[in-house]
Amino acid sequence: MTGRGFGVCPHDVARGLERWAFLNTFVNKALGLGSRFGIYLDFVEFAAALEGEEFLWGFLNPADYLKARTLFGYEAIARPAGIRDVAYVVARTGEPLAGSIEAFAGRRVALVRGYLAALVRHRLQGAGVSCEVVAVKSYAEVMKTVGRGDADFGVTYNDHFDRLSAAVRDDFRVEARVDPGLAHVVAAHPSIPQPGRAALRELLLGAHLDSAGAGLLATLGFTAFEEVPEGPYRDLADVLEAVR
Amino acid sequence: MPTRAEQVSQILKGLVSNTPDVEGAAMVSVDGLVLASALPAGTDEDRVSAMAAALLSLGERTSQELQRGTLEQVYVKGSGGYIILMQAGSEAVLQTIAGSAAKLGMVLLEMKRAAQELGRLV
Repeated sequence: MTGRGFGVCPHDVARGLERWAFLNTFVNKALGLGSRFGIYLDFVEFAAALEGEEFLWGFLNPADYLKARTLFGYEAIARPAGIRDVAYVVARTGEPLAGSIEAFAGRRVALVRGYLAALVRHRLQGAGVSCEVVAVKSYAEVMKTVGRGDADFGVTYNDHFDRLSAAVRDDFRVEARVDPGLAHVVAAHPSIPQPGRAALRELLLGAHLDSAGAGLLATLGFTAFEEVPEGPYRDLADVLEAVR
Repeated sequence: MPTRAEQVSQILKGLVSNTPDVEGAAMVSVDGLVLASALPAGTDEDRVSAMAAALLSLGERTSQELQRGTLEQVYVKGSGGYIILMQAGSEAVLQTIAGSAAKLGMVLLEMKRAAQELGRLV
């Protein structure tokens, strides 16, 4: 039996947990799910909670959504419109441009284990390019590792990079982007009856149409929610399998 | 015989009117919904309840992480006064706002009494 949690990707919690408390309250007020927003500050404990079936619903990164779907049958409900999860390959400003994917051969690449790194590794694999991986534990560590010169390139998350201060960002340039059309997903456990999941979808997809929903969206920093297309997530599942 | 909602409301109103410098109170469920409130006019109850639930969650995590045991209270001090959260049963939280001149000892004592009564109702 699933828990009553509303689980939110730790990266997004770290960016402002009150947004997610508002979303949870908004949904509970409209639909009476009775979910409780729990705070998970790192991916290890978040993964344990997800795998422990503690979440009634969640705002999950694409890989965690696929995991939840595979393990427990979570259903995609909606995702933020116009906001994409993009892998950036960064280098220090002033270093020669790579120019082509082949230029990565034999270079040191700092990366955090996860779906964004998998996307880049898949591209490199597909081009027959082999790199030396410098494994680190966070996107902040990716930047520091590249900045110190302990890696030639780093794979980071667009949301992390774009929010760095201009002074820090100016020390780096984005060498390449991998954007397969993914975004974080609101997903619901199948223990929420189908009418409840449909109502949740309707609530979120229609949020931009009234003032209460508009207020929620403004708090979340979204313009609207949109349907979740199957294609990019099916492709990601194939990528994750291929680079496992 | 008053309904449960009426009893909760009465306890909150009593807390506000009988405790000097307490300016408002609300009973919030752990899933972030207002169960009853005696907050100042113009307060957005939905936002207040969501923030209370977030403060409670964060307080619980912090207390756990720093091995301080079960969370009992969360206390926020601003230049204009205090916001205090206290568990009221396992499923709800009592939230009180008090002015900067409030005697905290008295406020906490009255909150504790109110929280015990409220905890029996929810």
